[in-house]
Amino acid sequence: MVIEMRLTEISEDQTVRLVDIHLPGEQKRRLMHVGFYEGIRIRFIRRAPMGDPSIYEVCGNAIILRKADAQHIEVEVDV
Amino acid sequence: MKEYQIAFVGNPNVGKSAWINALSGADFKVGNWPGVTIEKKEARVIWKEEAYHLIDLPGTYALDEVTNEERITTQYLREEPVDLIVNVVDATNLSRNLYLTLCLRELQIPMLLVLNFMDEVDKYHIRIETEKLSRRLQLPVLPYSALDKEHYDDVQEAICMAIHNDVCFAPLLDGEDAQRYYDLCTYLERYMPQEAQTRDIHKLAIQIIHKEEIACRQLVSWHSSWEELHAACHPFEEEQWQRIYQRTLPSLMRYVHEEEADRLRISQKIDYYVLHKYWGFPICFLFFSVLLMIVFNGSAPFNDFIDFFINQMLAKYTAAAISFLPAALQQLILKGILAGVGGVLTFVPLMALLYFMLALLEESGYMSRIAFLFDRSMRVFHLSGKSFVSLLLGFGCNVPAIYATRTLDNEKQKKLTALLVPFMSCGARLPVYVLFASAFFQGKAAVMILSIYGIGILLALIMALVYSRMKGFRTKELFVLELPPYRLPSMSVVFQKVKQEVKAYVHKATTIVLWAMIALWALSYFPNGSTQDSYIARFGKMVAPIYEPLGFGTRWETVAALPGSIIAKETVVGFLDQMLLNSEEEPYEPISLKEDIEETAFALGSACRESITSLLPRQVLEEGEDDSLVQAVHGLWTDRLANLRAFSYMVYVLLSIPCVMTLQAVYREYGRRLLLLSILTMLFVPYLVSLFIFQFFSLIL
Repeated sequence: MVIEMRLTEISEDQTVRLVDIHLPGEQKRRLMHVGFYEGIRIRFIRRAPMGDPSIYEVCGNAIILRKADAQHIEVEVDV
Repeated sequence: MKEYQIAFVGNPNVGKSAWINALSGADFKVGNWPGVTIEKKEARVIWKEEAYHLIDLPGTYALDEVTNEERITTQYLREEPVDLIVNVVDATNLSRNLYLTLCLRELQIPMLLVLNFMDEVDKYHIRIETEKLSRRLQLPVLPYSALDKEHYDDVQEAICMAIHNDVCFAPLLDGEDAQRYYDLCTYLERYMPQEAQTRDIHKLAIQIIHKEEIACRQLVSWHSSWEELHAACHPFEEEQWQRIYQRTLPSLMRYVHEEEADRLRISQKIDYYVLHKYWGFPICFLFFSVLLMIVFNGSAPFNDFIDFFINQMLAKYTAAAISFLPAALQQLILKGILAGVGGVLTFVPLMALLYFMLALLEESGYMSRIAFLFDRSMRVFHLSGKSFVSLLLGFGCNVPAIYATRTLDNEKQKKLTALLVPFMSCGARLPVYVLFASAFFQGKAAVMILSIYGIGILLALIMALVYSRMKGFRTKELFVLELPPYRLPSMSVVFQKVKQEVKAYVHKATTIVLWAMIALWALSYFPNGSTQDSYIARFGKMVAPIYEPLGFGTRWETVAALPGSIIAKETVVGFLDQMLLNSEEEPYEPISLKEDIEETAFALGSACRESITSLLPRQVLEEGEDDSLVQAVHGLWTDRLANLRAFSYMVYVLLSIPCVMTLQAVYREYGRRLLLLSILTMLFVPYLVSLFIFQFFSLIL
């Protein structure tokens, strides 16, 4: 079964697949440049001590995103 | 001589600078790209009687124009005559780096691929089939690390060769994508002039895909219709094109064999502690305390040595050499030029150490971690995590702190942070606090001084909120930051950065600052040759009433000391010394070359020794000022509110216009408008704050 959710709802060390990015074209492109495109696996690494931002592993890179931006990223996970 | 333009392009943090350093023997010019605060680095080297300009383009992930970095790089590559692209990639992270390589091939410019960090590739047990990769990409591939001295010649050779290559890059596409692209090319070929080569067709195809207007118009002028054009490039929407390239990448990664992506593993182990929920902040604070302590204590003995060397040794010999000149001229050279420039130069060791630490932070990868830790708390004030580092450096010296704003991620944040830096109390302001605190707050000096620092921080945060209501400083940009793996900093890059900045500082100290010094000296010397009756003193007397509501205006001496603080804040102490004590100049000791050289050598020796032995905390306050001056300052005010007046003065010195070197740094980085805004702020804010403090507390006390 596949569960769809937002990237912000991911739990520690979980791996998900990216479905879509609901952001305006320019911002979407920027995310794609650092590796966020459809079908890619995203692993959640850690949250900052104050709860935001968070580090995600994409294509072997650690990328920092804020909650405000990450919540527009739609992901899915197999259960 | 033939001149070639070589552009170094790559993702951020892949070692482009290190390669330019290596190839140019670290001899390059540093400036800013027009209009933005992004460093531009350029070196000119002569190889085999031909000149090569090596240009460091800002790190970028793709040829897009969303961020400033992308825009500069993309526009430069598209519009300037570039003879060769050196695409530097992180060999441990090819799957992401090669995306840019695919984009760069579109430009149809001769190109080289340098696989940097090859030493790490071996460490992580990654195997790269460079020959196959080279064949597929149709590019020469050089698997060398910038740390590897023996390969510098090979790279140089490769550049000289590749520059004459005739290139024709077809986009690397698979399956259906390739077929669609082929269709587009066939369509274009029909309309293009007969003499067009395959390369031109690819170039036009790519331009059409990216919807470049000029190319589209060109095509229509060759009698193609807009409808036809639209239909032909329909499958290649911009986003779609990106996806197509992303689909191509796995086929390139066939040539890279790695057991498991464990490149990040070591960094993640360190990060477990460094970014830990509970220990992250304490470790960071500990780190910075140690860092600032090393910077302060390690540089102080050298600062003293430079002061001793210029103001005693050099002054003595100069005085002897110019004793035949009229008195006023002698004074100008000794008190105006020598003492003034000397005063600025004494900060060189402090600055060099601060720059060194900053470069280490950046090169090692810890800078991004700090940004990560502090992002949430700084965002409350519309700042970002990296602003924190700039502000922190400001406690050492505002000049490198302004420079550090360059490492921030967007232009508005940079400007905002640069405006806030002067609120951080730099090392030069400390002597003023020490003097007034020991005169008025016996026993509570440390607390009072700390509270001054606190007021500076508080006001910076308040001003951040105020400025961010202005249109120019509000940002709604996406925040994407890569967390690079920890790396041992390349010392050649670190030392280069320090050298460049110190050189620029010394240069400014002997040009712009020199004129400021001479003007200020003249104002405090003429018309009668005595400070107490100089123009500046008269000016102090005249404007003192304006400062009466602030408490300290009742004594014009304190007001007259303020303009001088623009050279360096600590000059307030020297100025008060002249005003209040009218101290007779101590005659220089008799000249004896042998003794003097011995004494200088001895002073330098002990400075070196002390700078290492005194790395541990040192009581700054115990050094104190000479007692007569403390007494004289104590006598400034004797009424009930004397302490409050002194405190109000300390706050005013903290917040008033930063020194000329800081203003110069703001001007160089951000131009006239921000400089004016900064000056205006630092004129009104201190007045209002001191006014508030004095009026409010005089009601309570």
